[in-house]
Amino acid sequence: MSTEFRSSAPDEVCRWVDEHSEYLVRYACRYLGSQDLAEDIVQDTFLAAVEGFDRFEGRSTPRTWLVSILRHKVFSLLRKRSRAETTQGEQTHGADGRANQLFDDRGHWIAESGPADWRLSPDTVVQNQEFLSAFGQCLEKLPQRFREVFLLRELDEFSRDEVATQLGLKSNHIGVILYRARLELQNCLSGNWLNGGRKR
Amino acid sequence: MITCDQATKLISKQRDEALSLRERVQLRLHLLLCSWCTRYQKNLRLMSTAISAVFESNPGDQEGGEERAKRFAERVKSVLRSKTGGS
Repeated sequence: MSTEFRSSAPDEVCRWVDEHSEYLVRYACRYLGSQDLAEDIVQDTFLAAVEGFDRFEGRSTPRTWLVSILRHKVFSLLRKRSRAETTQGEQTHGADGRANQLFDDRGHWIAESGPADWRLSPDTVVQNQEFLSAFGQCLEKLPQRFREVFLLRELDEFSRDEVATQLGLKSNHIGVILYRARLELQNCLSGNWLNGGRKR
Repeated sequence: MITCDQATKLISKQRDEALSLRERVQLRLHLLLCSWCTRYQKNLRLMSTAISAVFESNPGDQEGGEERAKRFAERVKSVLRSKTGGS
């Protein structure tokens, strides 16, 4: 029975390539910032899926399983990068560099930078393609480290401590990065989002 | 009274862990009086709600679009078949 199973693995996984590769590349791309790199990792993921196919056993959906393999590889790469690089992305923004441009020296919002009314609700936001597209673009503009941390916390829903462990950083530091990433994303969306406006 | 930049720090913090009683009171008072920060809190919530939908959106927004995605899929399948000696 196991040899039969093994011989159908590449066929089954080839079907999964057709169904899921685009999603997986998009997923990896958001974390890694490079489509070439994302494609390499997704290819490795499918290879790993063939090798580990008998462990699959249909207990979860193929997509869920593939995403978990992919994640493992992506995070391992992020951890390596995290250790290798200095905090470059954060340095270009200074200790609180970007935040200083949004608040005056009394700590109040500067009028041009105040949060805009997006005129969206939780129900309408997920359907609004313009907003989602703007959000995607604002994510691309974030420094690499900010994007990774934001996605690990908000998309994959790891706790702050878990994100810290994944990236080999301290939990407080993750808190600071999340604060700045959210500030920057919100500001980008308030500035670029067409329907809303910066009015009091 | 806390300032807006302090309030935005608490608004971010509350998304990740429980605030202390003092922090909750300070933030609540500030939000009662500040419509910018109230919007900020609302916008962060919308961002959290929307993030997974960003990943479900149209294939066309990837570099190279559908063409590239198809070519990639074909390449992967041929690598899989050659590695496993399948047909």
